[in-house]
Amino acid sequence: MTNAVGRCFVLDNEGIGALRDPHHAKHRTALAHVEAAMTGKKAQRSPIFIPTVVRVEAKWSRTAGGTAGYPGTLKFADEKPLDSALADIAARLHLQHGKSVTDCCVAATALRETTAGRQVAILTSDPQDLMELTAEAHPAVTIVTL
Amino acid sequence: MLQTEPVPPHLSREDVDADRMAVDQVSPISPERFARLRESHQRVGAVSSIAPSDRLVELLNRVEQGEGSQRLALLHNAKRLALAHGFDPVSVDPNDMLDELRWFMRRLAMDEHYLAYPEAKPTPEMVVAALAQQLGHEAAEDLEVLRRAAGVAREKGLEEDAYAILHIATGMIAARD
Repeated sequence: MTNAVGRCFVLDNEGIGALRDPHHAKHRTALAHVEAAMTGKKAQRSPIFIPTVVRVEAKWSRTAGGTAGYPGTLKFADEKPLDSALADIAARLHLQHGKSVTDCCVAATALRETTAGRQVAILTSDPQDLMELTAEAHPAVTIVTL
Repeated sequence: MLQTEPVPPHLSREDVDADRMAVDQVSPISPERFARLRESHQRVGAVSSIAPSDRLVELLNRVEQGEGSQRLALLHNAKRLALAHGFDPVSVDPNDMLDELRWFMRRLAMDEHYLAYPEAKPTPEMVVAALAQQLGHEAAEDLEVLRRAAGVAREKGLEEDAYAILHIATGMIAARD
């Protein structure tokens, strides 16, 4: 069993899609993952990150009205901005693997967290590409299939 | 505005007014902004005009932007609002108060969602299965063990403690192997 101290949970677009729509087929499962991240004592809890690029792909504008502004089920998550250092990691992955920009940014977010000593779980409905992109940090990164 | 705001079933009128005042003290909400927020929440199916977690988010964001005595006053108001909704400050290190209030806000947001969509609330078994997956625990592939472990935890009154269930499952797997 992996040490639970210092872990985090990263969402990709599919995870956000399942969480924002109460009628989504995997809404309840996605919420179970959020509950799992939030459970336990302070040291056991896992902050939940949404990379900025994922927010763009999910068409999540904080200034837009209606459902684009987003309901309460995503208040639990913190945005991880795409800074220069993160862009360098994502660009390297994009160059090496040729996967989508969004997946490379999700993977880069996870890889950087592992360098800070965190165990990272990524929630996705398309695990293959993210497994390949994060293989260099295995087993510090766990791909959780939604 | 205090008179027209609906009272959620789990709160008293005094609680709602206290929340409103806690926010108004640090952030006067114009009638126009209030109407926009109400409309936004009604569109997405919220159960009340402004969810308490939204008020707490606003206060906590202001705490992070505040400085000195203003920051302390904002933190006090955020804590007061959280207390009105069940926040337990006992054993919270004062230095961790902001972080703990953030976690409480997240808990509050989830509970508000379950209030609006009761069928969305995952079972303890679903949560512990998700936790096992996130941790890469061997029990993630053994739902029968997790189900039995959840049953044992329920008998001990630990059904809401996913880590306790996972611990029991670990013991079951070790005993089996």
